[in-house]
Amino acid sequence: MIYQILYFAAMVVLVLSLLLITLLRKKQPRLSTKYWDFISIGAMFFGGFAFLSLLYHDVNLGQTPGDTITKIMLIVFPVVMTVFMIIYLVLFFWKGGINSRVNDDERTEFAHTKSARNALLATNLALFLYLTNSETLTRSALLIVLFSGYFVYFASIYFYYYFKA
Amino acid sequence: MTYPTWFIIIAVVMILLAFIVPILRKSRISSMQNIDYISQFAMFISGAILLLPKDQSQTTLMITLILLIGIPVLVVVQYLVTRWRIKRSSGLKITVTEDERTANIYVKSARNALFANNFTLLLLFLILKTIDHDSLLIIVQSSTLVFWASYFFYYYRKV
Repeated sequence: MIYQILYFAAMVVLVLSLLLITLLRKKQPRLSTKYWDFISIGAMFFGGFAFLSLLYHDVNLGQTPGDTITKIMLIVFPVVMTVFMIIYLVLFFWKGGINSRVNDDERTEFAHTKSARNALLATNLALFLYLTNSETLTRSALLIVLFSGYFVYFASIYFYYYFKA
Repeated sequence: MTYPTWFIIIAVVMILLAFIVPILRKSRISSMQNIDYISQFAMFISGAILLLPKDQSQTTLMITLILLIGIPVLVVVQYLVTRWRIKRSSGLKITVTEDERTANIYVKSARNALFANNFTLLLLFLILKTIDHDSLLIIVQSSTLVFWASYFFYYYRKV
């Protein structure tokens, strides 16, 4: 429990510091949310909530919550999210962003949308692979399905935004 | 959850029609260059998930397997026939019906499907506090429905 509270506090601090760095950096043009694709952001927001409620045992799937995959995910998910944030910082200072007056244009929207599409493919593929091998639904399987979508979304967004745009 | 035979027959006929009708149209050809195959593949997998029933009998697994192999084969055949028709008809008055907006439509529809997918999942978690195989199929069905509804909306209303 203490570990979870500490981790939550660290995440809040990290997100706030990221926001401050992004907004206060003078060399970089001001952020504009005009070209953000809020539908794909919303999709990942809902997916994230579903994943977290599953991870922290809010949802009853009829089996013991302390299975191995859940234990691994409790460590892997925060670690991967932290790694993605560090990568974001590195890319932000190394590459900046899309070179336009307000830092974002329709390429940003396209990067968000394409990432959501890739996440859908990853989710469906993981679900299909699982369902062909098993007839019962387990918490760990659903965690892996949701996590694969999440992972692909963030990997795609960095790829499209910093390397393809 | 098992599907009746008539349902599977109708599904197969509709899939075949979807592939044959574009090939048979004389004045309008779908170029197949601007189709977003990643979104198509995601929807193909959705369809495969919906076809996998809870009790996996030999018959239903065989039908799923046939569709899994058959649909990609149909896509390749359709692509080759279309390329051959476009090549043969150069100089004739023929309309190629797709451009880069089509690819955009596919991508946006896939995004909306993901939104529906995750939203339904969260809703089921919040309301039922549990999830079983059938409710998982509801989630996949909702995302498939949203994909096709979005596709038709963007293609015929927005473009």
